[in-house]
Amino acid sequence: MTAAQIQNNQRSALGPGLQRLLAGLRLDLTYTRASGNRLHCKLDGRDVEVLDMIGGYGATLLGHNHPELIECMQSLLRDGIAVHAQGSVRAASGKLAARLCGMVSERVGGDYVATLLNTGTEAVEAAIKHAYLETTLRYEQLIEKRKKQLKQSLEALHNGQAVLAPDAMAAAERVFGAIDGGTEGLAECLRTHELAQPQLGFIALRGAFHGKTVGSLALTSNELFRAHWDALGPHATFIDLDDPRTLEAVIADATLSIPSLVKTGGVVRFEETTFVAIAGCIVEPIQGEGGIREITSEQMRRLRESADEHGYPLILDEIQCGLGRCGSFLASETSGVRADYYLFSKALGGGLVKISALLIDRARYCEEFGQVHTSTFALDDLSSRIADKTLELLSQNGGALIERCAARGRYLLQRFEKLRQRFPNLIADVRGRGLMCGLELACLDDSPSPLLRVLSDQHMLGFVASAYLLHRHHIRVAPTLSSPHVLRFEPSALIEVSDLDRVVAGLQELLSCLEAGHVEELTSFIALEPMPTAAPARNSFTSGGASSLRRRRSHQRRVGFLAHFPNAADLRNWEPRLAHLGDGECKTFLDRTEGLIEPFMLSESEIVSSAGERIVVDAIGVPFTSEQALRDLRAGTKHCLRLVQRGIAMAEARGCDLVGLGGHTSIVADGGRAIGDSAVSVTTGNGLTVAAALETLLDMAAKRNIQTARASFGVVGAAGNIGAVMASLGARHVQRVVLFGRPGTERFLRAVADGVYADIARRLARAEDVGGIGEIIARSRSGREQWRCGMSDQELGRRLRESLERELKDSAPVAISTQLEDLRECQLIATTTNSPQPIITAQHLRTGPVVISDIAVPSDVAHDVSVLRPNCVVLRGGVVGLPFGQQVRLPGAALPPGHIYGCLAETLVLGLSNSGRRSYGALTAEQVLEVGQLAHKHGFRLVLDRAAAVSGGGVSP
Amino acid sequence: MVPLDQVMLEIRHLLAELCELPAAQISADGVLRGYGMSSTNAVELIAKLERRYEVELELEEVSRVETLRELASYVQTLTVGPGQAS
Repeated sequence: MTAAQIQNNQRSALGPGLQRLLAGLRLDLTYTRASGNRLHCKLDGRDVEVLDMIGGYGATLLGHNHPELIECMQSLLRDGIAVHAQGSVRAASGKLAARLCGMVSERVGGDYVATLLNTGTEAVEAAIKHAYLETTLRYEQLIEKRKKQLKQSLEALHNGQAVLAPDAMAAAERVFGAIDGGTEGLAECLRTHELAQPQLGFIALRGAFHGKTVGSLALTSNELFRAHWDALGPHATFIDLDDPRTLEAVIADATLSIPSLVKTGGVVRFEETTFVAIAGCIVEPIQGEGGIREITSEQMRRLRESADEHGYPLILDEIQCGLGRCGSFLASETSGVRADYYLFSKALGGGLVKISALLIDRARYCEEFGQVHTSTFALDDLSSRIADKTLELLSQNGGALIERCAARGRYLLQRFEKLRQRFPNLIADVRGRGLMCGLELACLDDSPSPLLRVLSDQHMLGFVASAYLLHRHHIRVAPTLSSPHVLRFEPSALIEVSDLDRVVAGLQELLSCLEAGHVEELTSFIALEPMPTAAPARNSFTSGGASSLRRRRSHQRRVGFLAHFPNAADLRNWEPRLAHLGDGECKTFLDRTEGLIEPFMLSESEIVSSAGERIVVDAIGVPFTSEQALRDLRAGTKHCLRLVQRGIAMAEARGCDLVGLGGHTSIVADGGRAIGDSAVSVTTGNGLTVAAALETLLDMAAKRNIQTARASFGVVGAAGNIGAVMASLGARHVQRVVLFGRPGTERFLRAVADGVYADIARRLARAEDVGGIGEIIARSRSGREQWRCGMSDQELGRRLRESLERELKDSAPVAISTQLEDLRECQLIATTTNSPQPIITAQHLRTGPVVISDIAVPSDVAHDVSVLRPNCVVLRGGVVGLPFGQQVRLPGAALPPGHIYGCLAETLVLGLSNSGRRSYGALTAEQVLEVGQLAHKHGFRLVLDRAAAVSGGGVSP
Repeated sequence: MVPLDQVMLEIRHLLAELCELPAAQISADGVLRGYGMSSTNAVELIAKLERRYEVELELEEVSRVETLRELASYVQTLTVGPGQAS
């Protein structure tokens, strides 16, 4: 198989979601050989030997391909053993069961019965089933006993062989309420009292991980794994062992009262028997996925006492921590607590086969369970013999391998402790026992690197650290999934001290990089190899920046603003430590990490308006580039829309009631229409962008001595919403408006012209100062005619247009054109098309003074126009000045100090005005005028000097 | 009624011409905004579609559709017989 074939299989056929996640950080290596603590792979074209500290999540306690196990397996296969002979005497399984039960009994006493299964989660399922069965049987026995007691008591009362105790009726009435009919009435109450089958539940611990099949998943604490399946499986309550009251509360909630009559001698008493509807309490002596957390001996004893008191079984999940990994055969041995059930798997298969075992105290074991819980593969001879051989190896030389785990673990933890002393701000904790160790990285809230702050805040640091150790030091570690800041170390018992020293050295370099904020070193391998084409990852393990939310100050008025990387190269502006990356490397970096990072805080700035109003703006980075946004839209996958929605949710959580959609976040969200229900208002900022563009255009016209009132105003792209608004507003200042569109769009251009005319006619009717075209219309015969009332705007505009065209012929004040050459008559031009290429060239323009407001993205005006037409000024527009020259810290925004894009400015203006209106969807001339007036009121400068005005952004279509 | 596949194929080419993209890059379920469609060039597309199919399209309807497939379905409903697409 070629490397390309392997990658393609992984991407498309085998868990593509996980593979994409691994690919993001280049953890998607293919290991081809393994031996002991070493794995072999190709890395950057070279054969590399990797030190394996993950150890198959505990499965390779004896290392990869242990020679004696390989020899054993080869011998078994050569001998042609009967691997599958279901429904027969399974000698190998019996031998394994006897050995395993014996090894457990040797250590904790008791007598156990084994059920062999295939995987760890299956052992948990079997434990759930058996615990449920034994508890149900116990309850049924209790009910049967109660029925007998009741029958005997009632017969004795009826026959006069016994009398009812004096306090019995009062006690019964406390349970049933008032009872009529004396003893007969009481008897009736008890007969008819319904004893429904209790809802049995399980107790599990917060942070627990017991598997992902339906039953075991219900006992797994991490809500991420359970999210969609919470309604399936048994009921579980997760308790916090640090707070003993939670266990007591669960027991209290699960306690049922069973009322009955009990005859003692010649007296019948009313009694209540209690039954605790708990089927079992399941515990990992050392939690693995939960972040390498050990249950203390005292906590373990308390759980044992509770189980003994209330009759439910204590189930110890030794699947990851047992069989010697933690320095004793049972990790729970040191607590002195004996369990009713033990679960084993992982290391039991010697790293070669899948096998698990459930051991149940014989006194609790239900014989029928062995008949009804079976599995095709569970007793296969091959797995049983390999597991038996594994136990033999672990027992050799007085359990020397187990003692080795203890010694190596002590050494590793000592070295980790020294690292913690050297980096007290970077290591939050080191913990574990034997060769099950965890190193918890601290949060990097104060890192000089913005990327590191985000990675830490979003719980990605463990993954990045793992990738760094793999690529730079050829050491394989992984974070625990439920506690992603914790790096987990579970090498084999054969690990050498020199290997552990190598791990510590790698960690030291990792921590030095973290301390100095050297994110370029920590992530240097990401940009090395372009990402194969694939959808963005959906990283369920990150969370949306908890510390970002902590910084919220709710008493301030606050707006949010969503920004993204316009181009991949803008990554360098945001994270200066990646300044050495070329454009292509920036693209690779962002393509690989696409979907791995959630929206994050860019900055928090306070702005004071000229009216003295204050507002805080939270700039939130939405991690995609314009190219990625378009790619996502074209694929119809809506990953970017999800990120925008998460960004808005983040702003809302920080107390923002208005969010501006910058750049392509607006396009992705369809100008806000695709956001769905949200408590916050959104704005695209188009209104202020248009207001600023028009004011700047008119200001520049005055500076160029263009007499606006006599000028022609050409609007290119006039059939679109922005163009139509531009035309309508421009018509108030100029003598003539020419609406430009492509051939075939005439009817839409005519509709825009109708709108312009209708607006003027309405304003004339209100005797407003109309100016420009309004004056021409007012003087015309058509304008004096009485069709102002009782007509829709559309109808009014159409009639006025047709009349003026008849009256004034080609001199009608609003004209349409599909020929850009007609721009030659225009001194003022606004252009806002979606053309991918510039469409206005020098040959379309007059030689005299011309001012063009180009708010299209990308630009509509050819680059060389200013050179070929020296009298022409091209304004890019879209930039606004903040009051008092204040600044909003927006990393990467290439604008002069004190300047911001119109979309951000509109967000601030609307926030300062507390207008509470949504500004998305089709823009209107009134909105533009209103937001323009508000901007002036708060001291925003819409007309800037030319240097700022010629370089800017545009509108979102 | 013109077959949907045929309408999609033809609109794909019209979109490609309008947005200056290779037709193969335009997928049936991609969001049209991703190819550069907006209220401005929607009218240009409508003009092309009206010429091609001799039908009249509503700007509001065209603005509402998200994808090529949805647009083709809308156009298809306006074409009443093969003659109109010939």
